[in-house]
Amino acid sequence: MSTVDALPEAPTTSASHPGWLGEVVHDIVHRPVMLVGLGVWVAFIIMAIGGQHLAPYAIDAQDIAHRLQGPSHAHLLGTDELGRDLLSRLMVGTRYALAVAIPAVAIALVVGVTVGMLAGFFGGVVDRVVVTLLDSVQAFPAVILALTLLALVGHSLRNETLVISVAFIPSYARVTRALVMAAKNNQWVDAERSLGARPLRIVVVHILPNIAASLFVLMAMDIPSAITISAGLDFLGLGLQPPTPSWGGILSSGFYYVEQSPWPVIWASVFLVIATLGFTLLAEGLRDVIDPRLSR
Amino acid sequence: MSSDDLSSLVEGLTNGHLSRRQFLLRAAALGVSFSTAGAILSACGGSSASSSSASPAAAPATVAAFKMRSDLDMANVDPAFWVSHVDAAIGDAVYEGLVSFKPGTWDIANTLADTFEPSSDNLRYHFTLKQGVPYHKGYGEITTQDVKFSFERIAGLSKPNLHAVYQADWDALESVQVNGKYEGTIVLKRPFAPLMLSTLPVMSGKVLSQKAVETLGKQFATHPIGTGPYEFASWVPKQQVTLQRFADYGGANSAYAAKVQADKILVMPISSDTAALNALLAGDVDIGVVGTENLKQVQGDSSLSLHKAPTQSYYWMAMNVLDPQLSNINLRKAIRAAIDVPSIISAAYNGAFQQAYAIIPPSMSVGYWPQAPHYTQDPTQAKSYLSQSGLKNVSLKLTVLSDQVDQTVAQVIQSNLASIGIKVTIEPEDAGTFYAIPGAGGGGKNRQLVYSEYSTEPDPSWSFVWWTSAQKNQWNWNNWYNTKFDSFLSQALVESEPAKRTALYIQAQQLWDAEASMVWIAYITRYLAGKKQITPSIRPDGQEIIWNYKEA
Amino acid sequence: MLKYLGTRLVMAFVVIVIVITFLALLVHLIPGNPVTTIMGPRASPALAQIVRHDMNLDRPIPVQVWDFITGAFRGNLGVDFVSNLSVTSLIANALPQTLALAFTSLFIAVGLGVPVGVYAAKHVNGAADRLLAVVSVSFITMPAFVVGLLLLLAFSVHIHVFPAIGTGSLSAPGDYLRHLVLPACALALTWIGYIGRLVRANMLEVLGEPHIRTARAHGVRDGVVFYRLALKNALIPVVAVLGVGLGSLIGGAIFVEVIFARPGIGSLIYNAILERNYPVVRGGVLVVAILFVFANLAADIVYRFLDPRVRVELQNVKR
Repeated sequence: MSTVDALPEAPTTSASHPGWLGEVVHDIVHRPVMLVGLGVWVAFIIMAIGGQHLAPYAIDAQDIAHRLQGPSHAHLLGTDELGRDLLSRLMVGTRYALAVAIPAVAIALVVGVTVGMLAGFFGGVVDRVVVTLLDSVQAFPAVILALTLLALVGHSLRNETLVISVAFIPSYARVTRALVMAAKNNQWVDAERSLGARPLRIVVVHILPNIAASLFVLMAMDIPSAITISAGLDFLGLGLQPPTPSWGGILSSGFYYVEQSPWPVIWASVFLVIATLGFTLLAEGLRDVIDPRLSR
Repeated sequence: MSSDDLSSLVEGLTNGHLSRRQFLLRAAALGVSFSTAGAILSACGGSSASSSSASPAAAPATVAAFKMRSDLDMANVDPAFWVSHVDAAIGDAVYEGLVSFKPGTWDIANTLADTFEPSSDNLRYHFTLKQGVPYHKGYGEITTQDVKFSFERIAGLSKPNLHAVYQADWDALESVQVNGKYEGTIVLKRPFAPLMLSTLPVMSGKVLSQKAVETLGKQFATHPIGTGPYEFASWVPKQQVTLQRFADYGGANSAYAAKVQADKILVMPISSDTAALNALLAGDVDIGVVGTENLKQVQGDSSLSLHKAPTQSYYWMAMNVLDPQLSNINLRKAIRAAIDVPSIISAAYNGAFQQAYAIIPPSMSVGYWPQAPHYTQDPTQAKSYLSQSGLKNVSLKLTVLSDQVDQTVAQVIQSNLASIGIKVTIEPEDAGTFYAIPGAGGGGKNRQLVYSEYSTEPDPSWSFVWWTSAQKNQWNWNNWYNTKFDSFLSQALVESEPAKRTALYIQAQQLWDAEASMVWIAYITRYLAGKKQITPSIRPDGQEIIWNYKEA
Repeated sequence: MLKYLGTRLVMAFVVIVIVITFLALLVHLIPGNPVTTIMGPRASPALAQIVRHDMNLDRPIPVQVWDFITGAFRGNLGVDFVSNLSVTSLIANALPQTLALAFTSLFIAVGLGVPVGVYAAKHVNGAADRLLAVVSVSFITMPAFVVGLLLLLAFSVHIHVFPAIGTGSLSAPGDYLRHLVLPACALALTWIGYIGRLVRANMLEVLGEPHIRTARAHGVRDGVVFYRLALKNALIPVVAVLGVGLGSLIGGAIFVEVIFARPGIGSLIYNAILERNYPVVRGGVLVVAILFVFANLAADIVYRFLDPRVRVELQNVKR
């Protein structure tokens, strides 16, 4: 979930002057909260890349005699309903969480920015049509939209990613559109135009870099949202299916067996919350650092 | 009043012509005092009389309501189209048939029928009705015309043809002859052995009010009218079905059942087993089915009792023999030898179900095959079959319903087959896609391994019906068609002698076993948990008889 | 202002028509057949044909879409083909439960979030403020279904303080409220954090403004400054957020209703999706979308009405 943003009339960011990278790094290092977030990111990315190799047990090694047990020497976090090691499954689950969330947001970014540019730049009918379509997509709460679409297209990693990205597209489109429209009226741009520069060049060279920082922050904030939505879809059984060790899926089977053992629910929740908390802290920190004017 | 009058009344009582209520009314009309009548009733006894004195004033203590958890919501209570066992349980409380099973047994007793006599050739069944038995909500009294209407509509003899789902139950019906207002004859085209087991005493044999069905039309499915001890009061979808004690109940079942105790029955659909258990523990429901995962919690709670209700429904894994890989019998034998059924029962059903070795369970009155081979997991044997098959790099799809328990089973099967080198991909499908009619654009032909359960009525013909050649492209996901198999089954349908029927069904099962196209998993046992003071009433196949629950 | 209102209403109307059309077409894009779902292993092709006809599925698609659109405007959202109840009546039964849940959640969120935000603004940059910041952000990031599961685990499964399922009956209001506590808290948690942050930020901004400084310079007491002047203005954006919040709470209620086995429009839609009960999915999603559109619209208008000084377009990226 991104916070409400009021947009500045003429965006200027600290990203536009030299040496800004050094400043950003400096600011990051001096904010402990951000370091925590960064640490979480690093840890999860390592887990995602390492996958099964880092996990103590094979994720599909069943041991039915020892199902639904709590933490023990053999299984640090306990076992699930088929006796599989929870720690291993949750670690590998990181891969699925990120494999859905990051591409979903990236696709939403690319598509949304393109659409927003078109709408903002051409204005008129094109703009009206685009805005109406965006409104239509945003007429549905994200989860309901995702559910309905997934029921249509069927469950798979790819479909879940696409469906979630659809829910995020409108926000990037709107931000881009507003910024493009504001920039269009900028004297600066008029000057370029009068010098004969082509519209596309103006957009790419002058507008994009200015909004890049804001979009980057939006992306960082949206990744935890996307992780949450995909976990929710998996929990409802409409996303990734067993035996895929997705966090939402582990929560779902954990819920079914919660009377017998609360541990799958507890540990899956812990992973999910640490991930979203860590990523959000980093994102908020990035936002504070990159554009103080946007922070509240 | 002459003693002749009274003795003929007593005779009527003892041979079942008069219900206790009717006896009391007529005795009162004759001037017999209540205490005398009560004494006579006690003397004549009655297997189900629970009250010490029989006068209406001292009826068993009533209970305001029984709140029962059901795992599914009511869907359609029309006997021609009913969907689940919840519909059947509600139907059993609201409707009655000519005959019924005495609660808790397979013994047949007359209910709406005063007399019921099969002819010696089992083609004609002559019956007379009890008189003055009213329908709910003022739809008049039951007559032979209602019986004709009810049976012929399911048989497909009405105009227009209803295309009832349960048409097979009355397929052998020629007609129901009306010989008088309360007298009629069921005429069959050919002998039909299951008539007294899975047609007349259950939903397909319920007698509906023609007037009510015609008046209510489509609404009838969710606003049923019958003669039963409870009438349908209301339904809030996904929340509650309310049944109300029928004040003017005609007493058709009083010869074998006590007066109902609760003024209301509330059927509350709770699909999540966890939620249902919590509801039970919290007192939000009084009694209901609990998931196999929750048995320990129930047993540990001193205010609750657990009741075991074995059913004849069975879980199976079918192999589509039309599939290029699975048409190889050695592959099928390999699969059968690789699967560890006890661990499936342990992982998915908490060990609480009885393992199945063939389609017909021991509790079925005919058709059980005690010598069915018991296959155990034997990886060496399995690998040997696999190499005999000559197939390499076998990869198969396993289609299951997408709920938690079925997914657990699928994962065990996947792991079992992986250990002999067969790769299994699990394809979970929601109910819509899973049950899409095969062949009609649906998935049956393209499936390879399928795991599911079928329920049944108390006759083997019902269990076998989905696996015959007639079910090609419909529900025979085995896709094994064999005329000898079919002929055993059709002979058993017209054979009335139980021993001969059993022999035929055993032959059918032997043939099927040789084909190695099925892995039998388990017979479903339902577990009811409820407050200690409540005694549920359960049919021998696990169907809940909700109108007959008692509270101490 | 009126012109603005008029334009927005027209836009909302157009959006709703697009939504209805999309939903009407949805039916035909889903694989699987509704008839057989419900009939299970007992339906025959002949019966399937009959039910298909009854559901009007054998008429040409544009006709079906048009029928649905016109029907929807007349309040007829179709019939649930299994129970033969009208979809509208199913929704009418379910929606009040969800609204009760949503409003209770908002009430809790505002009731706890505003004081938290005010406290943090009062003790800005102190230890309490920093702690609350971390707590608020934690709350914001915790998904409702995780909170719901954990609350259920803590207070129902093991300790039996609160009931675990259902709504309780309205005739016993105390019982009904008891059943609402856990689900409403689960939904509200995110918003407590969010409103807390928002109120704090707005308060700080307002407190920095000239007219506040002037008031202080004139000797107006702190308490008055804080609560009468600053808070009033700081609450304006909160109102805007509430409108959006209501809409997204209705969407988020799906999880809570599933976890706590509560009837409501969320579980109605979810179960209908599982059962491929088209008419109900269609009708339910439509009603939710309409509510969402109007909640957003209302929030936007109220915001503008309260603060006409705001001229930049409020980019609503809240989900």
